[in-house]
Amino acid sequence: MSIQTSGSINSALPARKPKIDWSRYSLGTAAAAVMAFLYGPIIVLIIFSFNDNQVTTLPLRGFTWRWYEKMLANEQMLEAISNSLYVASSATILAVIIGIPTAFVLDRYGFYGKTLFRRLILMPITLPGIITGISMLNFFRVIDFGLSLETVIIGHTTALIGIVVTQVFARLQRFNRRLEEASSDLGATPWKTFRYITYPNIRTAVIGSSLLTFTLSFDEIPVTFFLTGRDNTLPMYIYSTLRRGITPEINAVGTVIILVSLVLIIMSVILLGNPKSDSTSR
Amino acid sequence: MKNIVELRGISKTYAQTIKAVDDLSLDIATGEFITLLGPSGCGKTTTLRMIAGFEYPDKGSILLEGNDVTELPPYRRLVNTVFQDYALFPHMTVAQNVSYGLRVSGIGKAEADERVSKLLDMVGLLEKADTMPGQLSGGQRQRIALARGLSLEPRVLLLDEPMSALDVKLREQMQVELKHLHEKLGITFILVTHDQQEALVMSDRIVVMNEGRIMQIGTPTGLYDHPATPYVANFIGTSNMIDAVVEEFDATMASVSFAGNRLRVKLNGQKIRTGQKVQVSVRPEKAYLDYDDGTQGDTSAHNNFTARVTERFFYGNTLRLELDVEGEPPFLVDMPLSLALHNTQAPEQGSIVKVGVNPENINLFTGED
Amino acid sequence: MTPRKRRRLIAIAVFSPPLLWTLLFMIVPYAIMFTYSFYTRQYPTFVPDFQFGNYATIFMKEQYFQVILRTLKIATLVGFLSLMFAYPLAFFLVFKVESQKVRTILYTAVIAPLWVSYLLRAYTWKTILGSEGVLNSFLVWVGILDQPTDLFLYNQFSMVVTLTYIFIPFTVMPIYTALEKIPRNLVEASQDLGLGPVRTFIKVIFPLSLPGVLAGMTFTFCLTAGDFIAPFLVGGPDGSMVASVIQSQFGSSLNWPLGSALSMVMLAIILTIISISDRLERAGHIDLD
Repeated sequence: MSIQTSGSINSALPARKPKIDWSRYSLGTAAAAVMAFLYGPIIVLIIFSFNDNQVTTLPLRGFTWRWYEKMLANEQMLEAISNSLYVASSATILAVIIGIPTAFVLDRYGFYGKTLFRRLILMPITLPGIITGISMLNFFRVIDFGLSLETVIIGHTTALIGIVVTQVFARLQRFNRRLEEASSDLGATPWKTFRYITYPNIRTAVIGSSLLTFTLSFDEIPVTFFLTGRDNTLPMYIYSTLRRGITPEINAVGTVIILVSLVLIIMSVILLGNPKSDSTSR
Repeated sequence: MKNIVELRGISKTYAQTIKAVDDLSLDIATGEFITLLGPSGCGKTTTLRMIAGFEYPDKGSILLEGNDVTELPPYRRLVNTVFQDYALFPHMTVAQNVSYGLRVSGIGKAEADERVSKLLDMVGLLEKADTMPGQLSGGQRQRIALARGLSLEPRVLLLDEPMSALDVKLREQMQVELKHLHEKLGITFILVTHDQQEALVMSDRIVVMNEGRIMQIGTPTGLYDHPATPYVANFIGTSNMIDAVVEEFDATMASVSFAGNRLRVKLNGQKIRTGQKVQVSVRPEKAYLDYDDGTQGDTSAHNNFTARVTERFFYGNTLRLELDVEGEPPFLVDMPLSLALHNTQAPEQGSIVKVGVNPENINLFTGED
Repeated sequence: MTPRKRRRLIAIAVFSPPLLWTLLFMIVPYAIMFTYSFYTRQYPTFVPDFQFGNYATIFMKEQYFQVILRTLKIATLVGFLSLMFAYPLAFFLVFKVESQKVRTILYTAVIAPLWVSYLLRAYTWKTILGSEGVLNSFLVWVGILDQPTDLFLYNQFSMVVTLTYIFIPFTVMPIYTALEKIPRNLVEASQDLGLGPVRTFIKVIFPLSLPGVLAGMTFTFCLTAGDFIAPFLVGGPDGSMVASVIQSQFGSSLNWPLGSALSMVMLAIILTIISISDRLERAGHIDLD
């Protein structure tokens, strides 16, 4: 604090003594409240998945594994889970296969219509899934292509490519192109340069965004709703059972989904947010 | 001596209009240390990148050892590069960096390891083999980049401003080391730099470039003593540039006038005529203060004119005097301090001095460069 | 073939799949949807046509127009409420948490739910707000209510609560990024000039965080406007939104042309909002420089 502050300002300032930072406490309380709001419902879901009562109502009635056992015995649900795994892994693989070259195109090539291309490929991130779903439903009807899990995969890929593209693109923007030149200079063919130099430097972005894509595809509803045929994915199965009412079994499967998702999400956030892990790994 | 690199009329244009390199031809002899020197944007780096294969010329061709490589990608050319930012692979150890070229070209691990050890030993960093590049100092990175560039035993090593990121002391040290390395290995070095001092110290030949063209090619002393154009005279070292008019001339000597003084100039085959406006240049250290006391040897054939001392700058080993000659732009004279003190002491500000210049140390430019 | 040409061919081979994918699965479907919006319905299917009847229906018929207005209202409300919750949280994380590590962990914890099953996050509110749900049974249990009320669920209130809950992390994300970019010395300089914390916030921090606020609200608005899951789960008769109507056009109502037209209207609204927010953000940047 400057000594030469004028009298008026000086008098306005209370004497400097170690004082309690009220803004810190009030903001901290507000932040804690919001966090409680964010996690409360999730915790409620988890608690009730162990509650020995047909309805989700208080007071709690005691601990049970019943809903988990029921879930594991539910063949329809197990089939839906395996469908979801198939869809999510296929969509993730496709999104990566298409997303990586897309990120390269955006990073390195200038061509006519590039801005339009970028906007289009990133649009599904901001667009409600229903629009992607409906436009593709119309498309498959026009080309007379029957709806199935495969059409869902195409829909998910389209809706989620943007995730891979943005993350890989961001990493490529920070990538020093001289490294590729150095590799080429040392006799590496373009493929070897990609394999040994470029890929290790974007790897965490690729893995992180695939984890994210996988989770989102696994949980996806709006696109799936319009594009699926007779087979149900897990969220679609849950969605349809919810029409008939709530069962604690949903809480059990929800708990599993949420815990698995949280693990994948946190892994991907760590991979995406920490580019330094590239240089120390290997 | 056979030419290892031949550039034949290469041109490179960016964004349709910016001519980075303009119809450039250059022969580089096997084993020589040649430097492309010029300000930033003069096309020197683009030229180097075209030799390496990172860029392709729009016109012209590039020959390596007599073979046309114009269309070949970098990984099929027998040249290697040391990059300005070193471009060490951040995710590999020092040893992995140096062995990279050997490994991707299919050399076995045992042999590669052995060669890497030799290379690291050569640059004095054997103990850093398992270190990550991020943990090295600038000078160490530079040595690793050098070791990596030499790992494939290239016929030509390209160096793109390799010392620009180092501090002055380290840079001078590396210049010496690089020159020794060149002498030891006997391969061709092509250096790109904007630092004329660096070029003068290290090169066998210097190519001065500007606006995508070659201004002059010559040895360091040749360029320094006989710049072909005012541009080169100014870019390499410091020169006093004087506007003058030709009074008379014969086959070897000319006499020009400036600010009421007459200067005799040795000609180097320039074509001039009487009354022509020309420029002459004199290096500050080639001019001297004439004390007329016989201690400076036979100066009877030298030029003389008087001037007034306006400023003095102390440079440690030299004293630079800024002189006023009849309202002309300031004329600089550098005095080695051992001599400056010879006649009691250096002249005071405002004193009138007599300047002497040997006609052989004056260059005359006709303005047709 | 020269090596240079061959390299170009390889580049084209590598880079054409993304371009083809975009063309086939985005441009063509959007174009088809646009075309369908002019078709005429002939129950149970529809025939090619070029007429504006579908659009006329949307804007003239009270029923559809009301839904659009309601959607805009709810989306605005949710955008605004999410901001109210997200801003203090982001502010606390950036300016009041001193350890970088703790901050990163907390931030991760805040945004993690964003990627966790949308359906489940909406569904939990059904179990919380329902007449036999957690909230009601709790209130009865502690004696505040004599008997469960059905006021909490199946109305606009439950929709707004659920959607706000879902989109808070989405709003935190850009605000956090914007706040983190503000140089600390700017804040200190302002306080050195004698501005108190409140005036520093109003004059320095808030204006600099506006791009993040804008981005967060835009995201939330657009995704809320296109949601049909929350209306399905927790919305009542007065809670249906554009997306629910679109969904029924492709389902039970079997009116694809009208559904396509509604989708086009929604697409237009969303793209307009995005471009307005883009423009505002760019204008804001110039002001700040």
